[in-house]
Amino acid sequence: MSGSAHPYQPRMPQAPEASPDALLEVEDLKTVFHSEVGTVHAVDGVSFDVRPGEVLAVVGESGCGKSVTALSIMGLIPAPAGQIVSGRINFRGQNLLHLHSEERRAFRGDRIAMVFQDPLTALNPVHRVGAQIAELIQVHRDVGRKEAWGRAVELLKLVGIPGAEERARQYPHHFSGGMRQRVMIAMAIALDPDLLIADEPTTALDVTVQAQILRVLLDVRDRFGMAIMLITHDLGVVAGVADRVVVMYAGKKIEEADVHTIYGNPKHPYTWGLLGSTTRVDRPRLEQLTQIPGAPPSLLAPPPACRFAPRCAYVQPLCRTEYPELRPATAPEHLAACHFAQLDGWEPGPPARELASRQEEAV
Amino acid sequence: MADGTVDHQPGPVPTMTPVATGAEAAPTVEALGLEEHGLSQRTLMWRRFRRHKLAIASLVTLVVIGLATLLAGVLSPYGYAEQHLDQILQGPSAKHLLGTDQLGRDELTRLLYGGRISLLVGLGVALVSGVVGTLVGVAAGFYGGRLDNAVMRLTDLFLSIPLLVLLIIASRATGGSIRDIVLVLSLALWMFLARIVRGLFLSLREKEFVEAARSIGASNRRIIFRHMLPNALGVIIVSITLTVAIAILTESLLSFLGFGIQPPTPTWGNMLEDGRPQMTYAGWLVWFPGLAILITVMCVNFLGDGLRDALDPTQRRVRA
Amino acid sequence: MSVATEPAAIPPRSGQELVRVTDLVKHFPITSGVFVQRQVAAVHAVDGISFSIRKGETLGLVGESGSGKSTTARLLLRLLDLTSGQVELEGEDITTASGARLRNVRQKMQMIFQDPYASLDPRMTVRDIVGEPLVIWNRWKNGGSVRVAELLERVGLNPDHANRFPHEFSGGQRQRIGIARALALQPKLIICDEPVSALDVSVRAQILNLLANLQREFDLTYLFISHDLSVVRQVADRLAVMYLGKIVEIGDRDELYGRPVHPYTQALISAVPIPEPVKERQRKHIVLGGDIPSPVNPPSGCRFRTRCFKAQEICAEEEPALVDHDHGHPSACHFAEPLELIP
Repeated sequence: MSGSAHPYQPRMPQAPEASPDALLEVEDLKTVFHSEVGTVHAVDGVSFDVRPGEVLAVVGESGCGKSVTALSIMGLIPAPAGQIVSGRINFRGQNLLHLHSEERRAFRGDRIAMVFQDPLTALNPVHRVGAQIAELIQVHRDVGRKEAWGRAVELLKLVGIPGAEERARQYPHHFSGGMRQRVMIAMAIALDPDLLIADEPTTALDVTVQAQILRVLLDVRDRFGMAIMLITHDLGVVAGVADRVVVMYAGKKIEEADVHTIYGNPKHPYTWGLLGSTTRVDRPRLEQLTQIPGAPPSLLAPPPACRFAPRCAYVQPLCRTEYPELRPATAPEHLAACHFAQLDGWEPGPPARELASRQEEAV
Repeated sequence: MADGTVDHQPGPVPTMTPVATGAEAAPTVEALGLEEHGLSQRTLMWRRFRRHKLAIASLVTLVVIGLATLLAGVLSPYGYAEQHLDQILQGPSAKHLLGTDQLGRDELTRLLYGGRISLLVGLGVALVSGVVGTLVGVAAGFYGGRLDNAVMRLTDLFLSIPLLVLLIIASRATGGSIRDIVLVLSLALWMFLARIVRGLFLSLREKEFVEAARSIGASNRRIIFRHMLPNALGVIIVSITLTVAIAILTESLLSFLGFGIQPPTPTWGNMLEDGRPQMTYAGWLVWFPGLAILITVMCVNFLGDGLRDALDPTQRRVRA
Repeated sequence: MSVATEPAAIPPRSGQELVRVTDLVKHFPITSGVFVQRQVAAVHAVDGISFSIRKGETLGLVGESGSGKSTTARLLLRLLDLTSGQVELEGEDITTASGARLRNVRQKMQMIFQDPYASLDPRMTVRDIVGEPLVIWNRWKNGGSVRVAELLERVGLNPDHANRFPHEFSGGQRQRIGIARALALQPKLIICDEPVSALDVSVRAQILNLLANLQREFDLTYLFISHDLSVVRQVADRLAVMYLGKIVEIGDRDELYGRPVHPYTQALISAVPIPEPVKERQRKHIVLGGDIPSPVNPPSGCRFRTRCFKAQEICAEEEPALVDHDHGHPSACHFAEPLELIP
């Protein structure tokens, strides 16, 4: 007989106001992969900031480059097939790409930590869970084994693992999916990092467990004040936890805004399509869901100008000849990569097509 | 690094530090959207094989060796039992390119004829043990349960008998003909392939496309031959290739021990055995057969490597 | 071990019924032993469930991992043998059908699988894959090729690509191939096992729309299995919620989403995030503690009690029957009470 006595847990208090000075600045990042059929431009000139204490969601479908962006930041792009060809990744003003691998290692886990989709990739199956965390602490901090172990157990308690003392002595396969994810979070926060990158942390979990894990992430953020870069394709999750949102498509950033604007007043047709085609538990059944025709383009030879043009319902000739650079839409902080994003009344629906063609003629 | 590339090796980090693993590894073809360029499986296979230069070279070498042994009669003016007692133990010369042995027999000729037998045995064993091993493995892996249990106990039994003992007993019980040798060696080697195939089939059985085949009404036979075997073929072929190598080596062992093919018929193995006592003053009697075995086995192994890469359908990693 | 479901739980037999499942049980034995395998325990994957599916409707089967929903699908198709229970198709008892009779039955029931990458044989061309059912059933000779082309077109693929291999297609396209294969024998029932879970959001909508259109066009009946409640809301007419091998609630779609009465259903619905920030952050969230118990040793009495916020002593002693507690549809809870969780 367990479970919460108070089933309705109130939402966590809003995060402390995120300060505008960026913690992480990604500038024009370009990462490619060399393959037997050509060069894949996985991330093709992406820039964004992560501010201290905020939750930034990076949203997109498979192949958009969101995971590769995270791996680039962490320095986990496998050479020689993968290569960061240009750009800067500034962490607190220091360009991570100019560091030697030794210094890079000091950052990883310590200042920037990562949580993966599959906990089994990060957890070593032949070592006890507590030992793995303790070792991490021992390596990066000057503490003895006992103290490190004590801290490890504390961390396991913090992420909500019952009976942390005993469970620290167990192996990863003794834990369920959700519990393993908690362990991974514990490991990630062990060194009190400034930034936590979570790459699809709940995608492989059941939805009731997902809710738990998201709560743990937010709890940890409130407690330690770290920023979280959350990578996901789940628009529901983003709506529940994010402060700001970056939308990626085919290796590019195509929209960025605070969470309320992205959902309430998006200005890029791809974002419209995504929101429209998402199934919702709060909406009665529709005859047909809005669908985006076709599929994302090949990153070997992306479309010349706007990458979304082949699938866009509002496409104009201009879209195929000139790349729509990111421009402010409803506010300076709201960027959209669409030629018509700044038009009055730019909203999904037939009128938008009118607007676009009229604008096209005027130009 | 200054040029923007990043060294992903975490350096001398203790193995337990998990956060820094690059376990995501190279993105797969699907993730990068590379599927739609219209290449068939066969083309991809050939491309992968072609890249294995060593495998190509090995294939060529093996073909050359095979042809040479077949054309022994044409290539050499001597017979393999022809004795020239006035020219015993001569080193390589213009008349006898690889020298002669203690009975004046031409080494090159013996090497070529001997190669025939060695290669024949190798291929024969590979075929027989391949078929038997595959059948056993399929039965065990596909049906599972008690059949699997029984079959695997039998396999384990064979595996636990020391190879040498098995060979000695079996060759005593049979004659020394090539057919008998092939049977004896196959007896000793089928178990390895059986295990591999069993493992493969056990895992293939759980694959969704096998389930899908069942759901559309496919019979067991159809599922095994149309769906599972083609997907296991890569591994089976590679395994058989490797068995060729093992068979040639083991045949040499048999001859070396005095069983197997009897003189005057040469095999690379019994040539080694013959030459051994005279090694100090007639080294060529040992080097050449030894070299022949070494080269053949190495080539077979490289070929196996190349085939494995080419035929493996799960090989979709993006390569530099 | 199964609790007999009250008659009220299943609507009475009607001519409109395509499938009827009664007290379905599937236990997977866990054996141990070196030479002789003995059963030492069992995984209670499905532990006594009953439901029916009417012609032309879509029944959603919802649950998380360990719920038994996928096993149920395979039991229906007889890809697995039942431990006990009964399956009826068009009024005919097919529980023990085997050999030729079973293969006959298979023509009427087809399945669409979850993983578009694994459910197609990588060594067969698309034509072979979609045409295989026809070959097996001797329908290839008279225009099998044409039929394959028709099917491919119907699911939105270019028939000229029939010579290609699965790896040359995207995930969404592969799923379409799987759908074409399922349609080849003109089945009455199609079981969709998480057909869109492995697909991107924008592709999901395409496939869901396709499935809806096909249902209308070919008068198909669907059993739609998913863990994603938002998807099920879009496709199902009725749905059943499963937990650890049992059905805990079953009823009409809008009723279940609007006023769920079983605590697990309520927790599930509240856990599915809504893609609208204000709504999502202001709504009531029920967060369950603990993990899903092991199906090898399910809790006594009500299986959900270890995570339930309403659990009382009686829940451990007495397993609640799946009955309508005057809410309009059956639920298996001693304290069932409607709750509105969708703003």
